[in-house]
Amino acid sequence: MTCAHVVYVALKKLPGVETVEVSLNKGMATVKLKPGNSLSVPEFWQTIHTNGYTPKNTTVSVRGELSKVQGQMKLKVSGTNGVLALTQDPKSQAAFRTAESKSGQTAIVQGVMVPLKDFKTPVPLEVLQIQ
Amino acid sequence: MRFSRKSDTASLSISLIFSEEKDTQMLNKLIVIIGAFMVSAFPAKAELLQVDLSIFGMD
Repeated sequence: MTCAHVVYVALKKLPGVETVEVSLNKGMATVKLKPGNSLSVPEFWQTIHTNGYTPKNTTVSVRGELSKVQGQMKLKVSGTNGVLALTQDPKSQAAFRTAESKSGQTAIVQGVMVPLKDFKTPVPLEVLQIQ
Repeated sequence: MRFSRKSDTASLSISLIFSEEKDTQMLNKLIVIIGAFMVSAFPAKAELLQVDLSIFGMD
């Protein structure tokens, strides 16, 4: 059984996963999720880690409600009852400003999350794009 | 007798109007309750759509 297959099987087992594509060349797994899923990014990291690999930067597309709390932009993800802190990517400042202007609205945010060693500590979502 | 009839009519129409107002209030309450139920039962779609994981050590 190849490493790619191990990762594929482990990710496909997660409830709410629709499709998994694993690229050995890129060292990347692309996971598309079913509507109404309640998965969180740390769950993916933990799954990868449990199978003997180390998750790195993760690009995420997530739908949620934008809000500004005490000057900090947040994204409420009701599927998981979680709240992601949003940070500004120096290269995508315009996207972050768009997020600020859409406070109180539902939007699709694309951004990057970088796991910490324990994979559980909440990490911010660095905003790349807002739809 | 005529006067009495008029009075009855007025009284009836007042009670009808009152009844309609009550119905409207009830309807409004019902709409609010149904609306609250819909919001709690069907929350706005908000979830992960796609995740691209970079994985170290995979070959």
